[in-house]
Amino acid sequence: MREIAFCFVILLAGYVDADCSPAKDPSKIAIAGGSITELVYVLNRDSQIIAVDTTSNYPEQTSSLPSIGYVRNLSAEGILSLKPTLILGEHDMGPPQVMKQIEKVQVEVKKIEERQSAVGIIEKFECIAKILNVPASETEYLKENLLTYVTKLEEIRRVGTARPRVALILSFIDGSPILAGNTTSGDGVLKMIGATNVFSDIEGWKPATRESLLSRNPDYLVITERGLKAQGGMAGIEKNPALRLTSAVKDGNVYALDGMALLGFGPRTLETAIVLSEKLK
Amino acid sequence: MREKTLEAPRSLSLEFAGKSRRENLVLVMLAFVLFFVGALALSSGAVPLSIGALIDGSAKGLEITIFSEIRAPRVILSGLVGASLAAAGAVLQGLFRNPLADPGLIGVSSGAALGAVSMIVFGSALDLPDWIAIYSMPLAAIIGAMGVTFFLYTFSNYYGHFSVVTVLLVGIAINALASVGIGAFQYLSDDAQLRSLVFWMMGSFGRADWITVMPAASIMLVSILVLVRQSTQLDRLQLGEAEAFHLGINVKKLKRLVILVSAGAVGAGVALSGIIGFVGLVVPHLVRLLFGVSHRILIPGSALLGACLMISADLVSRIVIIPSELPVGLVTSALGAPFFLWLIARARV
Amino acid sequence: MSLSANDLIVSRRGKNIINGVNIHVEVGKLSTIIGPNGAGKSTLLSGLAGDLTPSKGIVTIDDTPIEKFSPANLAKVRSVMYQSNNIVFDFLVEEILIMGWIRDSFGRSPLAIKTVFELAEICGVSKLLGRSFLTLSGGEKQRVQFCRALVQLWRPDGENGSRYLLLDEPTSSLDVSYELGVLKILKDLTENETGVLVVLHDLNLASYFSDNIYLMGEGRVVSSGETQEVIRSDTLSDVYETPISVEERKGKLHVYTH
Repeated sequence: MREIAFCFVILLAGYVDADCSPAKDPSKIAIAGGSITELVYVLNRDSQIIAVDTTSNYPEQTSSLPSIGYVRNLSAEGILSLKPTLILGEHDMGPPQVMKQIEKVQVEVKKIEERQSAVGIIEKFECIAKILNVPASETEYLKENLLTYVTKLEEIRRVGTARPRVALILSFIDGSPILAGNTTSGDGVLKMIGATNVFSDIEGWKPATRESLLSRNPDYLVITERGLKAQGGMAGIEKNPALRLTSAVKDGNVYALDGMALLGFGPRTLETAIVLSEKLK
Repeated sequence: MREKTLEAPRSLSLEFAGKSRRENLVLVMLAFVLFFVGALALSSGAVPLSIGALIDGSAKGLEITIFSEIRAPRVILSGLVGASLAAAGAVLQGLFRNPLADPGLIGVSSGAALGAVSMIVFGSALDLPDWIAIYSMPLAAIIGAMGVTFFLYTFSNYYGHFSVVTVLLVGIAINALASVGIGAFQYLSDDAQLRSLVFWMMGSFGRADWITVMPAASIMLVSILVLVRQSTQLDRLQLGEAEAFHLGINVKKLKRLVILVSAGAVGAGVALSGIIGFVGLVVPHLVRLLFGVSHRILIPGSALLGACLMISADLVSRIVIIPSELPVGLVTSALGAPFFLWLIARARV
Repeated sequence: MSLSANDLIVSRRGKNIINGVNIHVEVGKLSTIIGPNGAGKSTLLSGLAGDLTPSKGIVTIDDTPIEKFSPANLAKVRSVMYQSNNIVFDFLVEEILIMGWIRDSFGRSPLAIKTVFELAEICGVSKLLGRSFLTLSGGEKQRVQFCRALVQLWRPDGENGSRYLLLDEPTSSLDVSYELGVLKILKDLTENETGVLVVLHDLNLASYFSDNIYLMGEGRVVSSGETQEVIRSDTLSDVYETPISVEERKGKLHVYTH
């Protein structure tokens, strides 16, 4: 526990660069980024949300909020017409020209840094809590909650002797799976649970060939629920020429999880990662 | 041969002389429509604005900023891009004597797209300071368009003496190469870049701001004016290239000018707003149907009508799903495609 | 004063289409070119029009090499009519005619319109004015194109200087009465400081109207001169590779095939 707290402090020091100073007026918030929306709900400040982007699909109540579009393709006037006092967004919100236009109107915009690790999620939480001026009395309890997940994950990483060999699939294009290479959120999740990403030498999300899948032969496949559905469920996976000869499919070690929960690096990611690690035992 | 000097039948003579007057009237009318559409677009949007309040000074700071920094450059950009694409389409249809010609055909849009896409993918690796990074993409797109045009020009000139068939074939090859290039970049890019790319290619005027719009606008405006001046020559070119030469036209010079200038206008537009289809193809046909076939009315008419249609399409994309937006390319395709089919059915191109 | 080609050789892909031709289109005369298909008649016309660069030889207008003329200046002294059908868009007949007006850059002046109407009357196409060019028959289109070539040549009284009119089979789609009408107009033109060169396939038309005939075969001028010298049974049969007879009737030569 001490070690975790120590790491946490060190990492937070690095996070100081990011702008987590309290917002001038957080009463009407527009959010671009699912993980941020989830954290605002965790912090019980969801009544202040006036609009979210299309990646904010959890919890269910978000569907009744007006949509400002996709996080990377926002509309300046659209957002401004809702008269937000604060715009919170993930690091990749954009396009940059639109962000510039919003700047000109002098509405406060805060970009939340992304670090794809368990501790990174805590940092996001802390940052948003500060911005929204949530008092320590409320955050302590919530942070403790989140930290238990972090501890659990730390334990899993330490204890797990067998590091399961996993390939993580986002979706399919023409039957070819799009896999998580390094620097992706998928890779971050696998690192979190101490699994081995059989495609860690590749950068970014990339389609894979039959040969590379067979030569690396993952023992486990993790697929997003949407990706699985698009391929026609487990039956489709078993028929997929690229996948069907892998150990994972032959042994029935294919697991599907909610994509946003798993890869969004919001609070659900902590939970979901632990669920995943259970399945991989 | 001139023993008989006849009085031209009065009615026909008046009609023909009246044609010029009618053409000018049509252009004035289109200019009025453009003014009206522009005013409508400027006063409509997600944020309620009243032009009256802006004029008499009672508007709040936020409204003034939204109007002057967001809406005004956007409406101007959409108008000019619409005008450029339509004028370029009209001129290319005349140059190739082909009703299916369109700025996309000669590969200029693809070249601009390739430039922009390579900047999206490699831009992060270059690690440019923020203030350059914002303009790096439009700049890369213009370089792409100019590069394609230069290649098209040199190749067509050297190997085919600018024959229409050569230009069209080179355009096809360029489009194919650009597809490969863009596909390769899509492969090399990571998820974040990939999404930016997809949205950029769908076309949008949401990225307009004065610093990028001003230079692009001047390029487009000058280009359109130059193209309008080629009306008489392009009319004569309809008789055939040899025939146009017999009538005193330096055909090679005309082709060179038309290709370069339309490439410049289209490149500047694509650089800022991505690829927007159908306007270059469909607007000239609409003008021919409604007003006449001579380039005197066709080129300026297409420019004005193209501007009206694009401003309207952008307006639709901005107000249909507030607070987010439709990609304007989808609006123009959704309207343009059925209209195009209707044109084919009428077989009156 | 003439539009001439001297020792002209034009080759394409290693083959000589025109193989050493001398031809002089004199002002005040109606010259015709006749010959079988593939003899190079149209190519020769293109060369004289300035459309192509010869491999050897030189084309001159009034002793000035044709390369020295800018396209605009060339258009002021020579007008051309080809057998072409390139119009794709829905122009009106008068819009086609007025494309021939090169005297002012605007091309829609009252003088232009007046001239177009006068010439339309003379060419017999006034009834076609107001109609869409694409809806015309082949013959009607040809008559309009012919008229357009005349519009290009038109000049007010008082303007002088030699001019030339080159035509490639201007009557191929016309019936007899229109055919004769066109040739008569061409003949009238020669009285107005104009040199006319027509490629004709109808040997009788050529023999009746020409001041000079050039008979071509396989890229060369086989025979040239006045009608009687060229329109001869033996020469024609040889060049056309089929028996052709020439008869004199009422002072005119008649040509017929067996």
